[in-house]
Amino acid sequence: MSEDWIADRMHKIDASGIRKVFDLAASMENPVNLSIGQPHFPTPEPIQDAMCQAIREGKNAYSQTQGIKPLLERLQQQVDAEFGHADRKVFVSSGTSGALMLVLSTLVNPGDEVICFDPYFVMYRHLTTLAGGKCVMIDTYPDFRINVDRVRAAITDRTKVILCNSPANPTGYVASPEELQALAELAAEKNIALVSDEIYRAFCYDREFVSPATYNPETIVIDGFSKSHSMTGLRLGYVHGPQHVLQQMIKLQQFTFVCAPHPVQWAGLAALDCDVSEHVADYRRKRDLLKGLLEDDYQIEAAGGAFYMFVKAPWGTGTEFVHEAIRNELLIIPGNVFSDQDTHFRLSYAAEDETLHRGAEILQKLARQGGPTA
Amino acid sequence: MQLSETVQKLKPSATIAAAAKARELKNTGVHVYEFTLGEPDFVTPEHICEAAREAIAAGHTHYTAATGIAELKQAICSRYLQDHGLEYSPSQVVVSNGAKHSIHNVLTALCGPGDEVIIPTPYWVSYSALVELTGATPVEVETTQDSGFCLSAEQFSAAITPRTRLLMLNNPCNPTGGAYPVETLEALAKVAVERDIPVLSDEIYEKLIYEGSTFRSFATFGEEVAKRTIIVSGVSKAYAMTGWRIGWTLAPADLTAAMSKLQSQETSNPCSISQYAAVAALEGSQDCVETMRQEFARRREYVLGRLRSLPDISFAEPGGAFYAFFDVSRHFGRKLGGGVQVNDASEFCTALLEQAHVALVTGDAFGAPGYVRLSFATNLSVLEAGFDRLEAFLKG
Repeated sequence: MSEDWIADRMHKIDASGIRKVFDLAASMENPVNLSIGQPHFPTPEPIQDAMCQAIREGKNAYSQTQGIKPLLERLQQQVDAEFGHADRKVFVSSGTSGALMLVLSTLVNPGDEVICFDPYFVMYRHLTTLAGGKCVMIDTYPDFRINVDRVRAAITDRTKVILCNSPANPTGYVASPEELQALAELAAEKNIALVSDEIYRAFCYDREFVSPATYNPETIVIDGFSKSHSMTGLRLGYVHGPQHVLQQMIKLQQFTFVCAPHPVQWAGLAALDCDVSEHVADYRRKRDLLKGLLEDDYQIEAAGGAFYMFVKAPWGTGTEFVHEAIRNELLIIPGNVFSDQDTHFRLSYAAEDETLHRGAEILQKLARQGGPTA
Repeated sequence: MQLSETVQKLKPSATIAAAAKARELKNTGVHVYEFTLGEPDFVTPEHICEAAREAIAAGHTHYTAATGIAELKQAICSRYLQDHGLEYSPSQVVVSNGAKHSIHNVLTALCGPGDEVIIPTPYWVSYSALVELTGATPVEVETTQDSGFCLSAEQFSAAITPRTRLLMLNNPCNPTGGAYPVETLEALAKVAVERDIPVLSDEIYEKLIYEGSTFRSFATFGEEVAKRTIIVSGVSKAYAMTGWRIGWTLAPADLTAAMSKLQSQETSNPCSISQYAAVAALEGSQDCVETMRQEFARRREYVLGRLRSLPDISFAEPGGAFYAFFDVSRHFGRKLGGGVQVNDASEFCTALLEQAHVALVTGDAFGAPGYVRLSFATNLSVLEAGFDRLEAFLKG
């Protein structure tokens, strides 16, 4: 096989940033791991049971492309109750990332621009590139708020999509209703598709979750069960939005993923009746705990949701600081994995309290040492 | 809202559309004899389900490595060694959300605007759509009933241009059931090496092979061929696991690296529990595969018997998969059931559904005008009733 077989688009994406970190981490003997992008609690039992039952009942063949009827109906009721939009329809996707891939391929023509907020979730950039589009980043440092004037200034006649994510990975920022309303109205005014990634919506600690779809009925919402119900491995997401967009996405799903894994869809149905508020309360407590431990040495912005903090390195670049952290057995992710700048690092507090304490101790020490020791 | 041009160009999957049409009629209370589906009518074998339940109990519900768990990659390699004598290493495996997703990965990694992909027709509905999604151009090469719908080395050679990126083979073939004879395959492999063209060999139906046919994996014709081969397969058809969504590619390491990167940025891992189920499928007893194959073989015999007795129908005997693909064009323009006249295979299928309540898929969907596809992944009594109705329909 010769290298020139590989299509050009493949050279424009890379998985190297985060891989380099994990390569470094491979040498760690007893790492304090604050890098994990998924909840640390087990998948709730009723969900496990529902999946086992579905398997036992032979629900193992293809489902219809858009998902099993009972799940679709429940999700549709939920969405109707929340938004009351006449044209808002739902379908079940093969994970949230699968849904993002479908939505970007459905909306983006080669050369189109997609507005994202920096820091951003890693996949946004690559999925846009794969669809032939170009990301236009809106800088949100230092407080990660959505500045709608900056968005307005970034709009060109090639702008096709605005991609927002609240609560956000990696910052944990939860946007205010005012910011989201202004963004939603701007998208409507300019006839730009607004895609809202709401996978962390269950995890809001200081203010209620608000979807921009509240203010713009054409908003395409990506949601799923992975984070709220700790079922990241099972690949179950869903999308709601205007019917004509969804029809195209479903068509594309027919040709790529066919359907979400069938038994998992029954697990999703059970998840809808599963209360996770205790876990959310626990993460709020963990957020407070970690913030309290770090407050003296770090300035922590945002962190109102999800289970991340995006913190400015007290010295050096984000990468330099993370290298030193790894030398001290602490695994965290450098900010440049999620950003055009390399000044911060991401902490995940989806971990046991003991791990948070140990991690905080190392971070205190690193801040106070003022630079690398090696 | 303006949608992307590529996606708008896609036509919805015709097999799924046919199934939907049949379902509509069913919902009005009509009993429909359905032969449209591309999946086994068996349930997933119990030992596989058991393994899945164990994996759930063991808490394997979180992210796995993006391209699949090590156990599954190893199990895939071991099976290819045992079944085909092929030595693959886990670094040559990407496990995806079903074989369609695997094909998407291959095409996205290899093809772009201006590239050409050779596809023998009749072809599986999704092939050309998946090629077009990458901006590349499908180059269709028509195969004939006389050849058992197999592409010849001469045809392959003649279709190659400087823009050719890939040949897509489906052996055994959906929709024709055609299984490539070893000599034909070897001749194609020779061209692939001489002209340096990679071959995507979709072998998802490899376990469903019937008397008189043999299966050879495309990668078995020597190292030079293997270097240019991308095997696509999965557990769906052999183990009745369509709903689990597990497919894979076996490919040269550098292409695998590219596809791994793609999958890690596009979708991440396939369903964790399905992966554990697939390990059990590949490592457990293979008796279930043979039991299902034998049942398909019985149905195939029945279907061929009935087809032979139908007037003015011609076909090539399917050597594999679970489809019969036959030419109904001599019935066009005649008075069929209910006095209806049809002019093409699509109209034929619509009339057959409406008048006789029998659902087939039109060959128009497979680039084969004049033909229809019948899936025999359904039990004998339904087949019998369906053929009785088809026979009456043809009599007019």
